[in-house]
Amino acid sequence: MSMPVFNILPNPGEIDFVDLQCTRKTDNAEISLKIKMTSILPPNSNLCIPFYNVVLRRVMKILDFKLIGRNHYDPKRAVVLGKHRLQIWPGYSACIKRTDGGLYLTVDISHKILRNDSVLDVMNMIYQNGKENFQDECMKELIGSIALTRYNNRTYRIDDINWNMSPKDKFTLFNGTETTFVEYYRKNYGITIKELDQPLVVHRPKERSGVSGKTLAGEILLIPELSFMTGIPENLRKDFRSMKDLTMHINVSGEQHTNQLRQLLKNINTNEAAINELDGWGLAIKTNILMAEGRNLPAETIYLQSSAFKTSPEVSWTREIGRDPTLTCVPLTCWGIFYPRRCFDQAEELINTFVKVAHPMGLKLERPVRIELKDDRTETYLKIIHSHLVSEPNVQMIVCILTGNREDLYSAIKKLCSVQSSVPSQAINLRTISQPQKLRAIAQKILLQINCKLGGALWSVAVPLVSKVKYSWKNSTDSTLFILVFFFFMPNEELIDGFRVLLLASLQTYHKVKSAYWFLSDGQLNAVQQYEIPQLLKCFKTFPQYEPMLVFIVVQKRINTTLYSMEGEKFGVPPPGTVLDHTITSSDWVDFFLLSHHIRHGCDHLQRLTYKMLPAPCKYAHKLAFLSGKVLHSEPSIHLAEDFIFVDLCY
Amino acid sequence: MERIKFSPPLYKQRYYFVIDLIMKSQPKKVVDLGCADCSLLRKMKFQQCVEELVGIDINQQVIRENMYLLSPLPCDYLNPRIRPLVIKLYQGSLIEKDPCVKNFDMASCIEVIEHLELSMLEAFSNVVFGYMTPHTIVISTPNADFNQLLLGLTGFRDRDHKFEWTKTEFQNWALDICVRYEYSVTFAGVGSGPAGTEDVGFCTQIAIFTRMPARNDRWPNSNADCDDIHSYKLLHEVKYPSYCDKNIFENALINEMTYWTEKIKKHFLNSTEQGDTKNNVQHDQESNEDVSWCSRSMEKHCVNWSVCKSADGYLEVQKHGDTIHIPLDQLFTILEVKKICSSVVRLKEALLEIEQFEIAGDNLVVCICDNEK
Repeated sequence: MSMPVFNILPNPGEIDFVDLQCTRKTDNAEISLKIKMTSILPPNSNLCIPFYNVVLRRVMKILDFKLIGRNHYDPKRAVVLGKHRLQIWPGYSACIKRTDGGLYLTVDISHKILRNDSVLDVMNMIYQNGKENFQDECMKELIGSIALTRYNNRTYRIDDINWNMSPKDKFTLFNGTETTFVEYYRKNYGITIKELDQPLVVHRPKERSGVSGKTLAGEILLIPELSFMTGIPENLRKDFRSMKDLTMHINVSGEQHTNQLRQLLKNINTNEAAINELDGWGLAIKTNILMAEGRNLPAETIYLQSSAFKTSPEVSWTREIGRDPTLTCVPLTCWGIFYPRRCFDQAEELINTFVKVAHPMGLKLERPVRIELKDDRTETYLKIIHSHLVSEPNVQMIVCILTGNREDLYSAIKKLCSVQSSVPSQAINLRTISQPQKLRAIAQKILLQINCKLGGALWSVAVPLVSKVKYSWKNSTDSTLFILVFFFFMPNEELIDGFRVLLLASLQTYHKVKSAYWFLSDGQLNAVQQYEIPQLLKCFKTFPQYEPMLVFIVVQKRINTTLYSMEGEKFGVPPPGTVLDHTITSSDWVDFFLLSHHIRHGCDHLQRLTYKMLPAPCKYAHKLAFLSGKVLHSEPSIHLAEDFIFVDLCY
Repeated sequence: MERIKFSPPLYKQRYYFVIDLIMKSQPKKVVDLGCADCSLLRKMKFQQCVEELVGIDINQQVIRENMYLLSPLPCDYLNPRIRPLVIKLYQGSLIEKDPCVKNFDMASCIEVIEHLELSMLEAFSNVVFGYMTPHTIVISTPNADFNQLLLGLTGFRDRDHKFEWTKTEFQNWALDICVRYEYSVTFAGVGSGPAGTEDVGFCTQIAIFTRMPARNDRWPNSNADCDDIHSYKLLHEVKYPSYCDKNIFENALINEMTYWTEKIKKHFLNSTEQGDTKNNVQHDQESNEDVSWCSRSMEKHCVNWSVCKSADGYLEVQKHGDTIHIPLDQLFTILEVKKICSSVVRLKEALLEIEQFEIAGDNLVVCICDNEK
């Protein structure tokens, strides 16, 4: 939600120079300072925005909100769930932005889940549940979680556990003194650590360049006893009933959402200290939420191999896909399905369902090779998959059934298949295929994904600009190519070199790239505009008589702008296809907000085009960027880049 | 002569000195005279014995810039204090009287007096020792004798110092205070010079004044007539969450009780499923990893249900048909419960007031009904 912010700063007048005198403490020498005004920033200049956000944080502090991470939470309105030893703190994420319509305060509702248990308590509980594999279980439960330290307001992601250290060990402070952890916490915070043999938890902050250009890496060691866990505990996530209970507290209706936001505005505008703080910078926040007029795009027609249909208001066409053959399909003859012993039944059921649904969809499918694993440990999966890859060089697809939310296993499988062997893979969560009523629909969706990954095309859409745009991850017959490239941005690495290499490779292979789609994150927008686009244009010149139109579509999926439709006094969700291309859009980029799944796009005359491309590319694009950055850790081989088949949607 | 560098830095050593004193004497009401950027207050607030913490400074701006740093942290809500804590910040002058800090347990006055004009010292002593009369007061100031060891120093250590006393000058002043206001004093310091310079003394000299007991009888209401003059301005007041707050106490107690009763319920339901009539928690095979630390602390949390008496550190409960009786004194052995309630009596009182819990005699009654299936 956006609320307009006014900014009125008094005229600085005619001040050119200011002369100051002071004395240096060490030797009483007289020093004179001259301050010269170089420019006046208009109040809505981009350079002022960070200051306004600092002021905003101060205002939130004045209202007694606690800053955890980037958002502000209110402990006084905490909801305590005794059964699960959790607390839910309601709060807001807020920031000031400049848009086409002026200065706006963007606010969204956020909830923080905090636990009454320290990291040490969690370790104790794990031990209580079973002493075998204690260290492994601890790693699984704790790594990746965010911990909140008792003595300051900081949150840290747990990256590792150091079993060989304890609070009795020494470490060196910035000023060179050595002290033990026990002593440090006693002296500085008056906290007495009770458990002297506990291991220490490690946080590795992201590498950043120091002042002299050297990368600063380092470890931060935390005491489990002094750190609280945040986020939903693993065992709770698996308990559906409790999760339902939990989400009831978190999900709010449109009505409640706006009420809570209005309440925040009221709190800000009735608190004297808060108003004074804002006033000091000439800021004031209007009390109403922004209303703007949008327009609705007409529903699109989807074309399959031999039939066509108009999309329904819900924008879901799975039923039609399941009934009629997809546009093009790749026969799947040589593939393997890997599953741990205890998933035998579900694996059987799944394969049978695959065979049943494949034919009406026009997919040619042979039964896969079934490989049973003796347990579900990561090493087991990797070993067996690897040996299969070596013994069956013609395998087209590797499908794995995973038990539970195993991020590390998922990454490892992807890495093995994509980076080391160039074979597409599909990971399926056991839970997804455990419900018999939903199995048919799930199997259809999985087969569609597999087909895509093998290079088949699912559907197409009529486009007035180009004859036909196909959703194709690899298409050697038609003129339009859909390239997805992903990069891993190291702090000082040039974006362009990697991209150019891949683009050249693709151009060499296909020669007819009409449009290139490059998916980036927000912070890279400026870099792209300033450097990469001119370089890319230069790159095209290396091909004779080739002048494609280069359009950069930046897809921002994770934005915090929520749009509600308003009919009379009632709030509702606007229908898919709603477009809002003014007022809250950025003034630097030509963009618009598109509601298919809250996407924001960056090119005016492609408004409709990009609508047609949704939801699939955006869903995949986001997943792809996420996946690449997180999982693969290295650029995949050029060969694979031509096929771009690495995406999984684990439902 | 080498440049002297203190490790840890001198200002930190001064803070540690005051904190040590607090840890030893466990005062409830503490005031920091000349609190400036509230750094010392921020260290003091971690001491659980402190219930009222006050900061006074003549400079309003520096307090305003730093006061929000004294707000409760998120973890103060997750893990409330047992005793309450109120922090108050005032803008005021130390040569003026205000009843808000009378008769405190401890006052700290770190590197302050040297910033007062010598002519103001008299008024300062009168207000602090004659009117505020804290039980203990810690005063620190630079030791001028040490200045000869500070390389390149000409004049005072800071431009704002009005004077810097030698050891003798400081101690004379202190002994005079003791005579006039009936205090006793001990001397100390932080920041030692290099070996061989011990006679010079510490870089910072410290005096710890303690009020003489006899004083109370003779001066019962020291300057009571000034008690309605409020010359300080309250800038900020913050209350920390504690178990003394009824809501927080109740919520925390309900939280703990719900968790443990659910755990007990679940255990009994599971064990009846497995046909385990002995109701003993089965521990899996011993791990060969060294987790001795874990089992030690775990014993405080571990619950082993047993009809007959078992070893220390386990919760004993009794099963009567469809209900389980947990003796309250068993519940009281749970660490967190002990923190929330000061005694078993208090625990019983509180549970009686909360509707969702049933008490029979000295037991908490939990019903194992299979209503969740």
